[in-house]
Amino acid sequence: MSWLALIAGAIFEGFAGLLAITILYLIWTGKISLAKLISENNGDASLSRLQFLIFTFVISLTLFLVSVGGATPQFPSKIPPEIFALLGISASSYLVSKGIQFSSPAGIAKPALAISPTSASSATPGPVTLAASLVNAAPGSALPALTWSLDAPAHGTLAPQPPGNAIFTPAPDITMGTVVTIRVQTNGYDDGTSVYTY
Amino acid sequence: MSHDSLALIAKWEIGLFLIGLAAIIAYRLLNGKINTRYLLYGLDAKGNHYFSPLRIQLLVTTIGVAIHYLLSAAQASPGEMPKLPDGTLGLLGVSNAAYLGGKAFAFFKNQQ
Repeated sequence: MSWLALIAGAIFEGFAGLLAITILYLIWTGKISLAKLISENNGDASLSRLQFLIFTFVISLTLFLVSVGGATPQFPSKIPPEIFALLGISASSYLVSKGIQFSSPAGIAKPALAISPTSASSATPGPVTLAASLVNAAPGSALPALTWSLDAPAHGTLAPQPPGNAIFTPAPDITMGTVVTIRVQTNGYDDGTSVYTY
Repeated sequence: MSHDSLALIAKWEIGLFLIGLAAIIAYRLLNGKINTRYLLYGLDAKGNHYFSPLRIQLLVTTIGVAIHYLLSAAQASPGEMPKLPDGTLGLLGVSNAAYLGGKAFAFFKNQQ
């Protein structure tokens, strides 16, 4: 029976080793993306997540070190309760932090700009008035200074009307079927776009 | 192939995986491939970022406790997890509470 256990162990270790190498390789090549490992929904990095990550690695490395430190590998007979408390403090701090954050739209998703109308189609080219507004921002937030632009190729002109409007005038020779994308930008907000089809 | 050989292979597999993963994450954190934007900045209810010293103290406390515990682990007896020094949990609790208190204050002070 002993040889069967050895074969099973060797197969399992081979599989686990290949899995570990594959995971590390995919992370290194970027196919498994860790870019948002400690990010919140709104795109900001989270200190609570970083703390939890650090403690997770510290505990796992410690467990590994004490398990293999002796002549024969040996799992610790007792895990000190302080370790659970340490992870508990870190995890509850993260949860409370999320609770605070979710009490405001700004903490849930990255604030963005929106253009009204979002999309439209028109058979008769003529000036169009567009209005920008804030999305995922706290109620009462003032509209910041905006930059309006047309995605290339332009097919017309854009005249900003501060604080939140712009008038798009299509080119006189615009052909039917042309798609025009109007964009509004400002720092700290995702771009807003409006798509016009002629 | 013996049980000792399997144990040795397992030891290297787990060790290299853990160290490799930690090294990749540390490298990506330092070169910005893992997003660290506004890590030390708070966010108020209006969506404005502000520099937060409370985040610095939490980061320093976290790194301090982590390094201390890893050093204790290096000197621990095999098969026995090291204990945290007295007061460490209290320190970490106060540090987290200060961070959360500051965050809550900044979030709610401007809310109507």
